[in-house]
Amino acid sequence: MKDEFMTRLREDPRPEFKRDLKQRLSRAGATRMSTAPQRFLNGKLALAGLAGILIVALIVSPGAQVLAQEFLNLFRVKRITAVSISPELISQLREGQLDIESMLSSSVEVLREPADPQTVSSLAEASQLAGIAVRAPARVPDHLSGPQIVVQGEGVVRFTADIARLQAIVDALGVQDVTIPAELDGAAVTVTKPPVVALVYQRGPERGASSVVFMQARNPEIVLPEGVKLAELGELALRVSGMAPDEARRLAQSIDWSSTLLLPIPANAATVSEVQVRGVTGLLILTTGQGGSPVAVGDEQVAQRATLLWSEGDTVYAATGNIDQTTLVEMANSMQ
Amino acid sequence: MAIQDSIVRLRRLIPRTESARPREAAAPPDWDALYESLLPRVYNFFVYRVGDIAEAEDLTSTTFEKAWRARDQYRHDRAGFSTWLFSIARNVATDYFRRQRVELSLDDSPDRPDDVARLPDRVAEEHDERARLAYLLARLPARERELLALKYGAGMTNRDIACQTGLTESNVGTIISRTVQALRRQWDAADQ
Repeated sequence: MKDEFMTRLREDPRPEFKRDLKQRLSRAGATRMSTAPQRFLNGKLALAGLAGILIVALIVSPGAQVLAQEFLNLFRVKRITAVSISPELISQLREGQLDIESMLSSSVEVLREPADPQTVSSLAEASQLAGIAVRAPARVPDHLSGPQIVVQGEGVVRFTADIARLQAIVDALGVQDVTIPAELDGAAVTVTKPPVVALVYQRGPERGASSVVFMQARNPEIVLPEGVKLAELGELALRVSGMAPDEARRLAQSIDWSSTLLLPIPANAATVSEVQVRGVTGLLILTTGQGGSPVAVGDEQVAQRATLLWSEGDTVYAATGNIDQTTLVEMANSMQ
Repeated sequence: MAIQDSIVRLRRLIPRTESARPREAAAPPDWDALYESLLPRVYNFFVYRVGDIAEAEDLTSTTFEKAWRARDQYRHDRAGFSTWLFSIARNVATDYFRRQRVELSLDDSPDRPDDVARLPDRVAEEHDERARLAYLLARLPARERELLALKYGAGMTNRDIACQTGLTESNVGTIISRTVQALRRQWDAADQ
């Protein structure tokens, strides 16, 4: 078959196109594409804006993101705001270029370990243990069973700032124009994590895994040292997260740091929107990736996880699962 | 106390969910290598499929972005990565034509204004070989054009195309051969 003429259209992609696309993909997932897929939501609950210096510490370590995740429940949250984290920072974390854990190993101390999770048989029992009026969704999709009610006891963590170490981390992250305030050296932030109640709904015993979890806890208590300027720390945290100096300054001044939780979201990793939940404004985060139920994106089925965060009075709530967002919000609205 | 210890302890605060379960052990794909090898193939698939460089770039981007977002769903044990990627590419092309409504069917006139407008001026003159081939491809029915795009754009074998399209390998070979022969005649006629 004489088909050599059929190759006339073949050509190499433009180098600029090839490079730009790769950069976009990198921003959407990882700087080096060879990096293993990440679970973006592992760190989704990280970082409260209240303790900027904690953010500096917590944001920079993949392992510490797990620790940071727990800090979501530790701040007196009235408002939750999403901030985008620079791709460069994410890539550094993923690639393990910064051994932050060892750099901070002497700075974090668990004063009281939370007891092992305890499964209880009723909401009333959970309420008694947690010291809050535990609510459960009245509307639960038929395919979900449960809930299994789990209560985790109180814990206390203290972080002691070491400005030399923190400055080294900031420098290692390539943030050139940020200086850790000297007065922070030795400052201790004590965080008391209240008991957390988790309602675990499962798709079914054959799946062997939970699919939707509702968590609730009393607002945590934070003890900050005298002289700590929250806005200054917040600005510092925003700068470390990749925000431009002017923008960080402006945002830092506009935030009530005593009640605002900053939720770092990797750029392009998720969509974030505000939704009304039970009469208050909550934050809805949709991420694609491992562990999510498939949803249609064009003709493709893409895994998606929905996470909903809100605060009511003295209680903070978080709901997450492989479930469509409408159903998750409906479940939340039906809590009683 | 080491931070690692505190992390382990604090992890207990929240019950594990599905996403926290360990994945089955499997070597992760070498994304860099896959990108380098597959980008030109996907790009040329679209060049042959839509006949427009800018559109080919856009559709290639869409394909890779979709694949990258859904990479956790790729199953090593079910299909080769290129097969998976091209299934996405084909769907992207289908969406494109659905939106554009410019794909020619067997009953369509090849001289519809929409189609002519997509071709450079020199196509009409048939002096440029690239443009001439693009023009000829644009006149093909969708199925034939897609098969040629997979064959000559993506560089697939007839067996790969059969796996991709669900046609038999012999059917793929027959259709491509017949189509290329027809194009050859038109190509040669333009030379005379």
